[in-house]
Amino acid sequence: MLAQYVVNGLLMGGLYACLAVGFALVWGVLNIVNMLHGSMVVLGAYFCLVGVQQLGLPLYAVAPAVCIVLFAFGYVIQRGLLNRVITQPILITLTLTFGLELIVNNVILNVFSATPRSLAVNLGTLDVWGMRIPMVRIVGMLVAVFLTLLLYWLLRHSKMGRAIIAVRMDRHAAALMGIRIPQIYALTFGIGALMAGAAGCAMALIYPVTPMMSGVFLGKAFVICVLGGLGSVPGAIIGGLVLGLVEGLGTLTLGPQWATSVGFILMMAVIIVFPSGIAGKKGYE
Amino acid sequence: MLRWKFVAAAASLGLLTATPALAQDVLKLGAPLALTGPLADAGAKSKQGYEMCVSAVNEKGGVNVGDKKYKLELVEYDYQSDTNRAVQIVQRLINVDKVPFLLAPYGSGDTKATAVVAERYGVPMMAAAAATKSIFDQNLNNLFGILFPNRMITDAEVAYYKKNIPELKTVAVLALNNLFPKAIAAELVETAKDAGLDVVYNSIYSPDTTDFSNVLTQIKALNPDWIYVTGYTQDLIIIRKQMADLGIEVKLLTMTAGPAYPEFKDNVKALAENVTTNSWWHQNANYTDAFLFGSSQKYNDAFNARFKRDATYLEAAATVSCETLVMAIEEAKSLAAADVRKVLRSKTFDTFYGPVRFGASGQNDINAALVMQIQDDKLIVLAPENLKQSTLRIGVPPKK
Amino acid sequence: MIFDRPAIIKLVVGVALFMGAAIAGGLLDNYQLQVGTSLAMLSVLCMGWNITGGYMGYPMLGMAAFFGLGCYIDAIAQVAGIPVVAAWLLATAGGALTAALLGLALLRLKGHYFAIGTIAIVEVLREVSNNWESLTGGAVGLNVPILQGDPETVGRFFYLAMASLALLAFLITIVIDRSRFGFGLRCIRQNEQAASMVGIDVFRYKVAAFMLSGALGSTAGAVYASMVAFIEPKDAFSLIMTIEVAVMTMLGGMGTIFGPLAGAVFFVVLREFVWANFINWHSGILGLIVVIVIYFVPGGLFGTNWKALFRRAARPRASVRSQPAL
Repeated sequence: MLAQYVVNGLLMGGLYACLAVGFALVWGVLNIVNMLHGSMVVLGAYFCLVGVQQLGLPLYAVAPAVCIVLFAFGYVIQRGLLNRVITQPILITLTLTFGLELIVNNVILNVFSATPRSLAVNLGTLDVWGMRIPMVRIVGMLVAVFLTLLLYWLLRHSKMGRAIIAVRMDRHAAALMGIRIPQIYALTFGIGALMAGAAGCAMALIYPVTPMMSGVFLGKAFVICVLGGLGSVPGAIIGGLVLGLVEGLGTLTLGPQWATSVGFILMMAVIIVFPSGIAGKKGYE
Repeated sequence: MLRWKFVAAAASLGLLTATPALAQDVLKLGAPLALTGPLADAGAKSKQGYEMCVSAVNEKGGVNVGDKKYKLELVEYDYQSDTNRAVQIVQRLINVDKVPFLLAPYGSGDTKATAVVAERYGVPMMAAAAATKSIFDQNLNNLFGILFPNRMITDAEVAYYKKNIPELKTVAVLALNNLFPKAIAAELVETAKDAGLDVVYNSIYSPDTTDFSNVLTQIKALNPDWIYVTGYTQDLIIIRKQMADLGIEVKLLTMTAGPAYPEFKDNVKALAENVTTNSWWHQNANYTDAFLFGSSQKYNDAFNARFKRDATYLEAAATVSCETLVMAIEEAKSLAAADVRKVLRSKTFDTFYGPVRFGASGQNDINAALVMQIQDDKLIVLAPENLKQSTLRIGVPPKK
Repeated sequence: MIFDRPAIIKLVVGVALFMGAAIAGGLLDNYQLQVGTSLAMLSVLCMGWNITGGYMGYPMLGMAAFFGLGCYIDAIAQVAGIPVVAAWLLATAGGALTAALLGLALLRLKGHYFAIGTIAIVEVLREVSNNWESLTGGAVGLNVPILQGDPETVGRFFYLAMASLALLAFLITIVIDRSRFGFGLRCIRQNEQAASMVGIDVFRYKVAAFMLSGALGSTAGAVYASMVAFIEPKDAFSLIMTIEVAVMTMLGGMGTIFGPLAGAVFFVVLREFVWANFINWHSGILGLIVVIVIYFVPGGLFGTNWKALFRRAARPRASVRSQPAL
């Protein structure tokens, strides 16, 4: 039933989009490849787990709290550490975030251990037109899409958002216009971390979380950003949906063995043939 | 400046490799462990299993070698779930720490790679986590495997299910693309075909797959009687959940090896009901053990007291790998590799884990395969007959 | 080629180092030989990376692709019966050829895109080896015929082989550093358009550099595969390794002659020390060191102007940190 496959793909795609959008934002505005992104998603997931399972708080209270915590985390890292290296070439920033990733991942492993944990939430399924759609996934996808669209709207229409875009367009001109660059950078990274945390909460609803997932999430974020266009927020949404669909159809046609490969092969093809991706403009080089 | 750096490097290398004087009354067992990386969970559990053995032996007074007593000690390093590092660490254990015996790393793949090194140096290695026959097919003298071959498990399963579900005709197989899960799935396909079942679906998924909805949709369309899935615990958790999401109903669902671990139930909760699995050991198998612990139940009680949860076959196999080694050393009255190897090959060891006999290839060839099912949120034994606690409940999810 | 006094000194020092290492090979025990071989292998990979990433300034994160390729070419060749050293040479040729082909596709890209492209190659090659079972054995890995002989002899053989490869890489690095080719690469790093205007055949140079990196990477992979006798896709095409190679070279100083060596030595020594003593925190400690070094000394050991740095730090007020982070 083709419809079921398409729906499956889109549901995954929504989650993927939320996963990647923080990554895309940081990349586009700050020109930083944030290797820490995957671990931040996992951190968000674990905080949600702890909040719900060990502190007994309801999810709708925990999730925003997690987002705020991660925002603060991102802000501090950017302000304290990354702001200094931001003008350096890509390798320096990548290495720095790579080092941070090692530290954070090690801490997560030692604090939370490697045993898989998840929030086993069952909200029932929607049976429509012969397709079965689990409510949890719809909720996850809706939250993800909502946050992403909210971010997009904020970027376009709020003062802070426009400052971020201005910095992205031309850093020096923005500084001349009175925008406080270090703060904007820190804000952007914080937002990226917040989105990662939100994605983590959504993931915790659906998947068992282990510290190892950080690598998987980072890989997906990479592929999505390339497909959608490096540094573009709407691109992340499109890229996420495309990846979800491609993986699903890849499973159908080539078998589950190749499901993850098609994503990477597509990524390689896109970067060689049209590097700016589906929606992105030619960003930083 | 360069020379300084080189001298510093050489000096630190020298410092590191200076071996401490071997205390006369300590017997070291080399233990490469995956404490970080994808196998971290299993590595931590193996460590707990080894520790149970070491503390039990030391509480007894140590290892008796002739008239001398040795304190048992583990020399551990983290190989980060990386096969190359595992090989390097085994090299280090042999050459620098000079351990006379080794405990293999977790999993068939890493056991395979490190077995080559152990063989080169003639150091006996006990493998608690490798069941795939191809590892033992290389005519290695120094590899001793606790887990009996996968084929024994699939034989027991197919035989039991055919007997208890007469209308069982079709089976769909989904395996993780990794040494053990793939191997056991392949064995099942063969066993099933030999028994006259129709394998309607047989496919592999790659590691790090996060979404199975499409594969499962395909399987659902084929409407098999039996679905057999292999993979790591987190994969099986996702698959079970997505099966429920898609409304898949089968007579029989077997998952290897996740349901044997408590975290499977913890993560899927009610969905674990009636899922079947298999195992090499369970605490309710009432084996007796005169050397350590007394019986399977007593082992589990001791494990529970120390680590606050029940032991699974993983920890038990780790414990018994160390235990059989110690038993062999005591019987050989020597620490020489050749003597211990001889005893390991000649004797059947009666342990809380069951009888262990290392066959010609080095692998345990006594079939004690357990067919199990989760019923009322408990993991219970269905077969073999003398250990069974209940009968099979057909239908996943259970019929209301 | 400019072969002035500093160059000759560096050459002599380097060769003396390798001679020393080779002689030491007769005295070290098996484990130390292993570490030494590992060190030599990392040096080769770092020096290979240095050509494209250091001298040419193209952020390449694809050394693992060539390494893994070399592993598999060697493994498949040896399984087919080709003798050991011939298999290695086959891997070298394979690496160079693949680099040429990939270079045609990737070298048009710059900066971020190039980096991503090389990462993508590593991932794709890993996935393909995972799935193309008939050729590579799939996820379960491939057994390479084990070299006969007792552990000491075999260990020394691989040690010397890897050390010779490292010496070769070192000599190549010196030649590049002092020759017109290296000068051209440095021009490309500074400003590619200007370089082509000055008459440098930019495309040819880029492909040549990439091919050299690829050849060195794949040869190292080939020797490695023969040594461990068992390879799997996830270890041969390891993304972590490809990043570590770049980081190591940066710590030592990219675009310098001794930088890659220093970085590799530092890494291996650190790893040995941390492994033994901090079993639960070793990756965190590694990360911490990377962060500290990159933050304070981004040019690495041999790439930083230490005198200027100390002078700047000693100055009371006007320090780098008081400037706005623009």
